[in-house]
Amino acid sequence: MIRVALIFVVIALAAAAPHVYAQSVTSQPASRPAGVPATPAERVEALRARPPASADELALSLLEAGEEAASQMIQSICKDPLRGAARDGSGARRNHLYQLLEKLPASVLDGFSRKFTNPAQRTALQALVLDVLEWSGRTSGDVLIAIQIFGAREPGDLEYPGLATKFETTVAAILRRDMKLMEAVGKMIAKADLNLQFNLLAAVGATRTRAGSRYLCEQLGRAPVLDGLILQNIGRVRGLVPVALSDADLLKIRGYLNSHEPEIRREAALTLGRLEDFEAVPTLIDALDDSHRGARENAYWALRKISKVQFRPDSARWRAWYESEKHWWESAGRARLSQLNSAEEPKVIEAIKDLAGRKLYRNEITEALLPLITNDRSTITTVAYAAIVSLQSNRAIPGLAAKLESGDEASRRRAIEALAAITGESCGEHREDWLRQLE
Amino acid sequence: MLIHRKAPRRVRGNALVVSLVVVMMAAAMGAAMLQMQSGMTMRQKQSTNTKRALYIAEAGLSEAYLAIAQGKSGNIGSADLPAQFGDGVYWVESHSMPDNKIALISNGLCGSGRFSASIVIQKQVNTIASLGMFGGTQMTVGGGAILDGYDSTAGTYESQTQTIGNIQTTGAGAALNANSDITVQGPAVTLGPLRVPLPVTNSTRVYGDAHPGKDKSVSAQANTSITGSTSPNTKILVLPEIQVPAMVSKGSLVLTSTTPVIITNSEARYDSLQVKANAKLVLKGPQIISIGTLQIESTGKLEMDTAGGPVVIYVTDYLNLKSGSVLSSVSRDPKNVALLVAASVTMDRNGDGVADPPVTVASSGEFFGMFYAPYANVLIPSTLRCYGTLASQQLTIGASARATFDKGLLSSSNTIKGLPSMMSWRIVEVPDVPIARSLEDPIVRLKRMGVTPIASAAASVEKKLTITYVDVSGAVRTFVGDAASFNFSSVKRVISQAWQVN
Repeated sequence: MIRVALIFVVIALAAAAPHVYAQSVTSQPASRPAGVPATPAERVEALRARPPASADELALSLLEAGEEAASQMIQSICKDPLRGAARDGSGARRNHLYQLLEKLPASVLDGFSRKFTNPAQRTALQALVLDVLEWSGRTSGDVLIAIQIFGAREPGDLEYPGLATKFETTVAAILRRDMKLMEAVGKMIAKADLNLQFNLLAAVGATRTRAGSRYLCEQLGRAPVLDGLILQNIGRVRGLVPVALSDADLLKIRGYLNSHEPEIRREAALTLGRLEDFEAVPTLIDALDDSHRGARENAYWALRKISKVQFRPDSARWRAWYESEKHWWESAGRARLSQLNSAEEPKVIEAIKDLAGRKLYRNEITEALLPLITNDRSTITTVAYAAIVSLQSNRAIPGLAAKLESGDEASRRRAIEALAAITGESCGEHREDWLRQLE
Repeated sequence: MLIHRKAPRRVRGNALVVSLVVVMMAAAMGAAMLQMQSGMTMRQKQSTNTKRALYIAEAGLSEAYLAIAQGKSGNIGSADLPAQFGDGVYWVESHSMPDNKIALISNGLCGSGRFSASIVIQKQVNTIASLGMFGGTQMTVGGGAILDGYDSTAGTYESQTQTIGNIQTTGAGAALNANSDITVQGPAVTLGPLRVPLPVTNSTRVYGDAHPGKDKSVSAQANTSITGSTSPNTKILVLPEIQVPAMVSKGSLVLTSTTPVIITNSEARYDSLQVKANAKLVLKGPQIISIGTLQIESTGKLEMDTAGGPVVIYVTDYLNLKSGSVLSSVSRDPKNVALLVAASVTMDRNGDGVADPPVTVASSGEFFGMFYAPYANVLIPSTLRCYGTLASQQLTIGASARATFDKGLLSSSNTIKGLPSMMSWRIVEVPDVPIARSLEDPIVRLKRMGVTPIASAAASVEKKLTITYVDVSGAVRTFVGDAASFNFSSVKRVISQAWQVN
């Protein structure tokens, strides 16, 4: 019996030894010479080893660790709170830290009125909490807390621009996790004062999403002082294709090209270029003669973006080109498109060659050319590929991406080359990778 | 028995006529063929001459391109005194165009052949200066900062300013560039009694252009203003590499004395150069100095004396201009100073356990010149007034800082200058000048007029060269005079050069 008991004790000790060892290793602070203060990294390490008991204590510890170290720690904990549930207990500590971080915003907000009366400390805490929310926020409640934290200032406080940027980044990060929050945020914007509206609209723009752009478009004109900011942000989206807005929205934006304020005209021109609004071409051509240099240069950039043509900024030249393209489309364009269906190869090739240079109607022409691309190596396919690349229209992307699933290696290679030439990007060899760029 | 009959009277003598006619016809045909052949030969010769004239015109364009790459105007010879090339002659006319472009028209003549061709080239400016105020992966303008521009070739900054709002500024000329978004922050705002921000008097102002990266954008907060264009760059701007010249090291240098230490060596390399508190280092141009680690302590001073020539500083490992250190410049001309920092490694340099970034700029005073740190993140504090260009991997113009771009640096030959690039080529009409109108061989014509064409390599109109250089013995020298009399083989490194007609 005694032997059995002894065996059990030995086994128990063997099982517990790693825990004890790990505790002893991680609990011991790194030895350093007396008088030399701990580095931020060491403070964070100490925090991990012995998490504080409350969120308030955590906040103060993070402030002591310094902005950069605290930010890194917050990121690493919030990104994957449950990682590392090792036998040494570090996983449990990590979990505990994450839970404290989740409580931190509310705790700090509550503490603003009670404890954190020093303005510098308050500003630092605001930045800290916004950092936490940026990495862990998921609900409209989190957005509300971010607004409250950002607004927790007293008369005489200095509002640092870096804090505004951090606030916008935080709200944008929360929105990106769930764009359905847009509706709730929209209500918050409607109730906010002008300054907060500015920050929230900038945050919506910072999401770089199509839904964000559409929301911003709806806000145009409601508060003229915000129009410049809104125009700056409409159309700033990730992906290879511009956001599609309704005709009414595009018409509204085009109207801003006639604004009395030169900076508004400038931003409107840029926005129309980002949106690749073909209908705006005549107005943009007129803007080449704007009295404000910024508006002229932005209009020039927009024209080159929309048309893919590289004339000099000479309105007469552009106007002549536009009129010539319009006339061609009305008189011969549709006939040429019909010619693509001809049974005679020379006629089809002749039509393709004529269509390849018509940049103003490149979207329609590209869609008409896509069916001509087959997996064979016929002359028509070759010429059609060349024409599609020359037209530089993003409408080619879905059709070319579909070719990536072809069983023919040569066809796949051709499609990849064409996609890269049109977009200037290299998104791999899989259809899904390219289609993701359209979202 | 043979009967001889006389031919009928009417056909007597016809054989001669017939044979005469045949001979005449043959002669005529022969003459015609000769004529045809001669015509063909002439046309062939004309075609050959025209082709040769084309090649000579092309040679002229190449010569002019080389001249522009060297800093000349591109004008080669003239219609009255062309340059000789092979069996023909040419001359090239150069015409300046907007956006730093040049149109070259080259006229080639060979025998009776005439050909004119034209190219448009984009003059490549000083590659670093063309970046303007540049941040590669991040460009931030802090709240309350003011950015503008001027042209040092047209005078001092003060002579080009006006009062706008409550400050002296040129009101234009800023050139912000980035390969990323550009963020323009508003100033810090004080909250009033009702927690409403009080009006600001120090809004952030960019008097000029802000061009973000390709498909990127400008984010401008409240209380900011950008007066120029905000269109994105159409391509990624490449940061040129810094090629540090190899030099023999003089070891390390630590300055502690309050008596200024003046370094006048034309070329010098120090593994480490430290300016301690209250010490002063003067770098006197013309000079190229390479330093491993350069540290200026608080109250230490660094002065660039460019009265005698430009100063180019390479820092290869670590640059630390500590808070309280002072930068100054004697001549206040950005063209004459280049601070090129190749440092890139973040590591603990002073044993405090904290990794130090490769570049820290916390000085006060004034910096006139090109500051280029392509592998480091740089923050320009409000205490340091900058004139020239600033370019780094990430650039932050600190809150309330002032920085002025100098357009005059675009034509500076300091540091890295790129080659011109050809934009277009076309055939143009041969000019209506006497030497081209006449189909006489131009060399014969010129000889008859007593004119000797110039050799092609010496035909640029700019003959006078002003060059500051380091010769093979390491001494800095300056030459001013006829380029033909200058011995280029004595040049180890060019510091600056300029060309003039006379």
